[in-house]
This record gives sequence, structure tokens and C-alpha cells, in this order.
Amino acid sequence: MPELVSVRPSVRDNGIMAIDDMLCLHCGACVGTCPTNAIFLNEVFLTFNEDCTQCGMCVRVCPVGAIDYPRGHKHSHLP
Amino acid sequence: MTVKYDVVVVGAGPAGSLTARYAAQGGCRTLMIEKRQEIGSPVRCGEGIARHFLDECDIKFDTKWVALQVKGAKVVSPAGHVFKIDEFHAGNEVGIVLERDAFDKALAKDAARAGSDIWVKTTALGLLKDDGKVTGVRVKRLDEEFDIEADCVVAADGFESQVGRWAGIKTLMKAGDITGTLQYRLTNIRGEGDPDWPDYCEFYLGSVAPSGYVWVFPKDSETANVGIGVSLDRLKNKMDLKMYLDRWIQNDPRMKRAQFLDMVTGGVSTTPPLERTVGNGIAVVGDAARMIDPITGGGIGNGCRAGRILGETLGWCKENGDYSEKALQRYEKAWRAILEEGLYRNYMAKQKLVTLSDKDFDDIISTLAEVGVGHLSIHEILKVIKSRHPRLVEKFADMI
Repeated sequence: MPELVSVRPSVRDNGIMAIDDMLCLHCGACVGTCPTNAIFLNEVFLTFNEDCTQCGMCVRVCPVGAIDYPRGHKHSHLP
Repeated sequence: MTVKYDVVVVGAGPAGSLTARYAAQGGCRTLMIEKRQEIGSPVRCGEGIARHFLDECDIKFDTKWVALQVKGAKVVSPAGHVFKIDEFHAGNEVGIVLERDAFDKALAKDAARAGSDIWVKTTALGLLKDDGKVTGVRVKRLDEEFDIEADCVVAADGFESQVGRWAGIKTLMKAGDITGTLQYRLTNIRGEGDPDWPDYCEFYLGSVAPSGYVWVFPKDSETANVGIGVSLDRLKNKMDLKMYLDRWIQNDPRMKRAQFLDMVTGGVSTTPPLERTVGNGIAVVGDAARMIDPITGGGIGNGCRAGRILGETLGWCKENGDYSEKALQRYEKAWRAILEEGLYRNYMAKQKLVTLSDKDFDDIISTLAEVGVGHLSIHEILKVIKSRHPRLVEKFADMI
């Protein structure tokens, strides 16, 4: 078996929500959808803040599946 | 460092550029800022537009931003019934598939020519307020963070608008009024078996795209924007949108060997018109003001028309030295006069359309295809359907 040398971390999980930076196309669909305005998108950098209620609207609207619940959350797909 | 302008427009899309252009023309010292490094890119659009608003907004037709001119639109039911709308019947409602990146740049050039300053890679961080009045905007331009004082800040910051929300204007939507979209630009599409290819923009209705539709907007003889919009309340799981689109593409024989050129995503509002789009020293325009047509999801035409009105209003405000909410009501009233009724009517119609089954769509579209309609008003369409399928029209009774 060949050895796996390194894995680039692409998921940022701040305990509120998790965003995969390599999937995100920065389209803003989640930002406009968020009912509590808890998502900040600065061109190519998306962050979730404390106003998030983990309602999951952003997870469903994201066309590329870049958003997930944080690790340990019952709906999270993250390992 | 502090900078002073009469008008700062946040967002350099079509609505922003039209606002900046007419504000500058009206004598305002105008600045338009864009957070991205390039105006018009990345494209977040199906790129199909009607032609009629171009003259109205004094936008000079230029083949540089036209990918293809089509003869009309085809609306396809789940069972494959086709209702063709040629340009004449649609009242010039269909016509152009854009090169949207070039189009946005052309509109920004018009704004610059009219005298507006434009900065890219400049993000709005927050609004400056004094006694309930918006007095400017804090921005970050590359690594520099500073305040811009302005008599009026224009929120033209699109679907994900923050500026309007910061000013206290309610732009929140419910799940049923938000549509998630995904589009592939596909090439190597083989249209030989389709005599109409690539002369029509195509819309596929029904359960292929719940409470939405699949679109195919040809860009050339082998390339098209193939996309889907599905209402958020019909998206149950992560990546449902992609599942629906991939499934549809698999079932279209023209797309068997199709390959990807790009991928576009975004959100679209399908709401009734906002209650309020102006405040003291603030105005909202375009997608940020939820001016997208709730049925088609098209926003460029309405954004441009409202942008022109807002720009002209700002020129008038400059003359009178008054950018208060009361003065900006002039914009509010004028855009509503031309857009509100249509937006509201189409919202009501959308609310009914999302309740229809595949069978209902088959009945409606086969009837329309058979009978044909003279002018494509909703009223006319309903009259035709009523004559054949009274059951279906009951749902729309209050609209006739």
C-alpha cells in the first residue's frame, strides 16, 4: 500500500457549524437564507457566529454540500 | 482616514451599476464598491434575459455580452408536452442568453463614464449611523480599513444582502420563498435529434424540480447553462439539489456525452415585494430588495429598472440637499409603480403553482400547446385553462 503523505485540512469547525473551504463556492446562498444573520461571508471566507441556532437551513440550501453541523452534533456527517 | 462621497453604492452588479450611473449623471459624487476582485465574476446567473428592459434603461446592445439570441422559450411538462413561446407572443420577454461577466463589466463602464468612481476588492464591514440616519459605511479595501461618509448608502449587495439588514430594513425570507440553485455549464451537448436546438431557452416543470424548474439556456450550438432551482422547503437533505439536477441530466439524451465547463450556485428569492426599501440615508435595490420575479427567478431586468429610478432619485435628492427617508420615498413610489403589481401577482401565482402535481402540469401545458394564447398574460393563460380543465382553475379563481 502506498503511504499517504499528508491531508490538507479543508473543514473549519468552530463548534457552531462546519464549513468545507474546498467545497464552498462563496455564492452566498446560505448568507441570504440565514434567519438569524449568523453567517458572515467575506468574499471567499465564510464564518458562523453565536447568533446561529443550528436550524440547518444553510445545510439544505447549500448547492455543493459545503456546510455541515459541527462534529458531535447528531445530524453531523463529519467523522 | 475618512473619505466623503454623496452616494456610496455597495455591490457592482447590474442594479448597483445602473444606480451609480444615474446618480453620477444626476450630479452626485458617487462611489461604487465591489467586494470581489473582478466585476461580473464569478458568474452567478442562468444568463437568460428578456430584451425589453435594455432600451428602457438606455443600455446599448453590444454583441460582446451576448452569447446567443434565441427565438423564444419552451416550457416542458413532466410527460413531455411542450408549450412554445416565441418572442412575439411573449411580448419581447425572451431573447438573449448573456455572457454575464461581460455584461456586468459593460454596465460598470457606463457608470464610470457617467462619472462614478469604482473600487474593487472593497468590502462593506458595517454602516455608520447618527441619530437613526445612515451617515456612511465602514469598508475594508485590501488591507486598509476606513470610513466613508455618505449622504446615502445604496444596498445593491445581492441575495446575501447585509447592508439593508444593518439599516434595519426587513429582508428576511421564509423557507418557501427561498430557492436554492445549481447550474452546470455543459458542453459537447448533441442537439442533432432536436430540430429546435439551440434556438430556445427551455424550462422543465414538475417533480423534476419541486417548486422550481430545470432550465437549459443554450450558449452556443454545443454548450448550455443547465441548471435547477428548488424551493428550500422542498430540500430535505444535504445535496438534494445536486441529486435532482444530476438525475434530470441523465435522462436527457442530448446530454449523454456532455462535459463540464463550470459550476454556478446561488440563492434566489421568490418573495412578495418588501414592505420598505428606503430609510434615512439608505436605499435597497435589486436582488437585495427582493425584486426578483417569483415565477421566473429573473432579477436583472427589474434590478436595472429600479437601479435607474434610484439613481435618478438620488440626483434629485442632491439638487434638493435632502436624502431623508421622505425624499427617498420618491424612489420607493416609482419602482413600486412599475414593478410591485407584477411581482405581487406572480408571487400569488407561484404560491398556487407550487401546489400543482405532475398531472396538473401535463394538463395545463398540453392545453396551452394545443390552443395557443395570443398574449401571454396570466389572465389569458387562466382563461384558456378554464375552458378545458375547470378543476385546475379553481385554485386560481381569485386571480381571474
